[in-house]
Amino acid sequence: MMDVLALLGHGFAVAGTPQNLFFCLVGALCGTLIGVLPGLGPVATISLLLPATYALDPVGAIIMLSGIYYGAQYGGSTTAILMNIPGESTSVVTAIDGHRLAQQGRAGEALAVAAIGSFFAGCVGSLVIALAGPPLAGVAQKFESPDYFSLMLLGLVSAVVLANGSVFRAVAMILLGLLLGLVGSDINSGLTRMTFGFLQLSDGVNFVAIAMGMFGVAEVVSNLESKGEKKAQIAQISSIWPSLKILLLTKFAVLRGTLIGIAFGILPGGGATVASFSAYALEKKVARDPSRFGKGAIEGVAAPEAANNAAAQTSFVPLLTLGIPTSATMALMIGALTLHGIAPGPMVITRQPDLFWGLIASMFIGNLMLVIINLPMIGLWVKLLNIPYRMLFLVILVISAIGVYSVNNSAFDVYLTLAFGLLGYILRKLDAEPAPLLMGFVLGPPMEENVRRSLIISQGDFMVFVQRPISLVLLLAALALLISVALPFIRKRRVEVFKDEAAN
Amino acid sequence: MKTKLGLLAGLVILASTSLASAQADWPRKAVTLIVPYAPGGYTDAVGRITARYLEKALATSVVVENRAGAGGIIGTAYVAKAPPDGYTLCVCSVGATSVAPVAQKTDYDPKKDLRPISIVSTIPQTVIVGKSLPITSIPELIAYAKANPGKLNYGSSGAGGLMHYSVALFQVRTGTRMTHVPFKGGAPATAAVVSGEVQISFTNMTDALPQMEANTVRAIAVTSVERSPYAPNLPTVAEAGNLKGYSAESWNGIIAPAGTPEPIIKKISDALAKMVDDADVKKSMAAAGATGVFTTPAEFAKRIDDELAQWAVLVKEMKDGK
Amino acid sequence: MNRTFWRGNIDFYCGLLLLSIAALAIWLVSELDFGTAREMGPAYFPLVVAGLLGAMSLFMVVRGIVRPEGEMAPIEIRPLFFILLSFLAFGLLIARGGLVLAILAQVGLAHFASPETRVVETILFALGLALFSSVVFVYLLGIPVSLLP
Repeated sequence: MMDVLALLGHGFAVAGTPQNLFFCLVGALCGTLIGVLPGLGPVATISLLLPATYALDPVGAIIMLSGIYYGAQYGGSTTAILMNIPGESTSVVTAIDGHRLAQQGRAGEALAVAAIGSFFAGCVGSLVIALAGPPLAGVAQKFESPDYFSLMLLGLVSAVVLANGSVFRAVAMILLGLLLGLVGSDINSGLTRMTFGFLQLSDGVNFVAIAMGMFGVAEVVSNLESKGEKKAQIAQISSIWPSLKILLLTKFAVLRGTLIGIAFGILPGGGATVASFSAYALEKKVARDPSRFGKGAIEGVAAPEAANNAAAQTSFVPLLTLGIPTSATMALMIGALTLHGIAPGPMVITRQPDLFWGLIASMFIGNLMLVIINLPMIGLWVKLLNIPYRMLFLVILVISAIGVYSVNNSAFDVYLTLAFGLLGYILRKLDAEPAPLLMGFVLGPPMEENVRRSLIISQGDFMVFVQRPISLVLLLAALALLISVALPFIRKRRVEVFKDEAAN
Repeated sequence: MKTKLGLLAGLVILASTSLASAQADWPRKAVTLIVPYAPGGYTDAVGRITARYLEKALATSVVVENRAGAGGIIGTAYVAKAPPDGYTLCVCSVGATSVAPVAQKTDYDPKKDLRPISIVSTIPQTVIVGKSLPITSIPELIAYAKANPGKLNYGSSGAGGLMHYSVALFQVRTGTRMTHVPFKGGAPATAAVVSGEVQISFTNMTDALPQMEANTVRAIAVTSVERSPYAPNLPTVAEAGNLKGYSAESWNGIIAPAGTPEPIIKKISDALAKMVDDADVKKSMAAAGATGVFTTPAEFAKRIDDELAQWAVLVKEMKDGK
Repeated sequence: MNRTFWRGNIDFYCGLLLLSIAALAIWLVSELDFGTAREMGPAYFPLVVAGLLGAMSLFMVVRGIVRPEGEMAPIEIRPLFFILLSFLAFGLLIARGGLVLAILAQVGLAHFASPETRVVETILFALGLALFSSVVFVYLLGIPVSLLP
């Protein structure tokens, strides 16, 4: 313990130099900015800014790039709440209740809770890395293919829970998402599937194109409809700051979200996404009145935001201690480190103590900076909603288009956005929600990959999924969640049948 | 698709009018260096190191542009169809140049559409085995695999990648049979050897080195023709297994579109010849885990021909075997 | 089948849409190897997912026919058409005409998506966005696009 404190102190000394503080601030600002701009995510931004960091020393570079990463997690929730456009898979769930709150004139409250929740989660997350990074990495290493498959299954069941309307439709949307996720190369055979011969689809459908189409374009089109329900009309803003009552109300939600985020963040391959969805599902399950969810429940913002920010911090654990990237952004971080002559792996902690402890210390500082940057900005963001929609939508369109284009410098992705905009618009008219679809899309590929790998390694023995303790626990959790979803559904059915009979 | 064609048509017209005068005083404007992989990756690093040097050597700005996708095929195809005026070059890699054209459909024929200039860096695969296995050398690996056919699982970065084909070639040459377990990328495949989920992998040196240093895996050989300066005591697979000619080495090289005028090729080649001895470049290459290399255009072209032939035989055998 | 069946029957339409997507997917992967549950081929997982989706959407279609319910919100062509067109214009122009033209075209077309937009405002926003994007995306972030043709 004393050791850790001493090392952390050393870390603060490294991160606290004026130069590194400056990089941390630049990263946090950049991250917030790109998080707020719809369509422009951390992956695109980090890859664009990577060359600019070549001139910096490795510690400064990584501090700045990580600042962009977790800054984008903060900023991403802003667009999700204000405009119902999530730019990252982790802020998809934030949009569900967050945007409802904004419509009710409680945007300030939602943004403040998101920022405070993220700050708390970020600090706890960083503390966990400092205290237990290497042992946690050991836990992550215990996860093998069958366990990942069960984890993905749990994620999909959570996606059912967060559906507002019909469970049946939510499952159909998940399946549609899974199908879309499978477009592209099959890693087991190298063959391409469902690409219509487009080379641009061989790496799969671009997530940003789907998210911008299904949420961004479809949202803008519906808002512009004259006969529509005028969702864009925002109620008079009641208050910018959350009352103490609200903060107390969300305290347990934030805590639960943080724990889930920390646990899932260390797992490579969609851990952070599963974390935010599961955190939401858990809140809906433990709430006294689950029907509030989807209509503007503040816990539905607090928990997933805490979860994704905690996960953003702990996802550095496998990167720094094992050299395994947990996401596309982390893969870029590996690239950045390599370019600076540091090979991420088991030796980083001992060989590069400045880097490891400096980065952790910078996470505390960065989170503090972010909350300081973001809280006063909330007033500004909320004012943004006063701009008439007839002008605002032009901004959203242009920035989304550039954002989508910049991911691969490809006009093809812009056309994809168009196509998914059309699909999303029609699905919206048919009462089908896009959030479960996105969850299926994100989790589909790792699910297939892991089930196939499990069966190759087990030589076709399906028992591996229940023989491994981790996998078994996850499967049981998924089953329990599934039953808890199905029970009210079945009960309701019975009541309906009863009613029908009584009517006869 | 249409966009690209239109752009292409415009560029071709533009190029043909200025081509004649362009050769003598090349370069008169910025040169675009296409990296057919995502930023932050290994090829990206090599590309940027090369761009930085060429800017000095050619006294013009060299802009790196990432056109990632389909394992490098999209960016390589883009360069193959670019106007051959010396202003569009590619940091191509072995996968999209020597393996993909024989394994799958590509829009370009590397022999006809590309003009190799020089390899700038190479990096071998490293044969790593899990520490729980009683295997310490290539002959022991062959013996173990022969005694337990199909029992050893090897991890790869996905079907058709060098991590897959290098083992496939090894199996054909040694008459062994192991089970292929694909992962999404080289890093998770390497990590699976560490955790014990798979037993063996022919993994990229960049991924293997940190694990070797931490003693979490056992490295037994490298797949290149010569030993690697990063692990000089590891024998090559060819020498240890007595497999003459066995080579599976990842390289990055500067390639121009076919038809690029000779004087321009020569200018670039001359610059690259000096790059290999540049102290700054050496340092940066070492940091990326790569070895700086120079080859003449003819040597480079021969190497691609040889590799195409080697992988074509393997791909055919693998297809027939199914 | 009466008027209410065609107007207010989202189950039926949703089912039909999903059914056609599932059928398309099945057709697309039909040539690939299916494999077995133990050794899944590239077509296995897509076929299972598409099969499940197909079955569910078929159920929705049937339920829609047997018990039509759920009024579909009216579809308005104007915003949909112009917004999609504006994206098409952006995509077509970004590589050939440069970022500025692409933005001007996109904003210009999007202008017609709503009757509430005003010409002067749109022109100002178009120019403002072109300037903002040129500075932020091209100069600061260095996205490799040209500003003008």
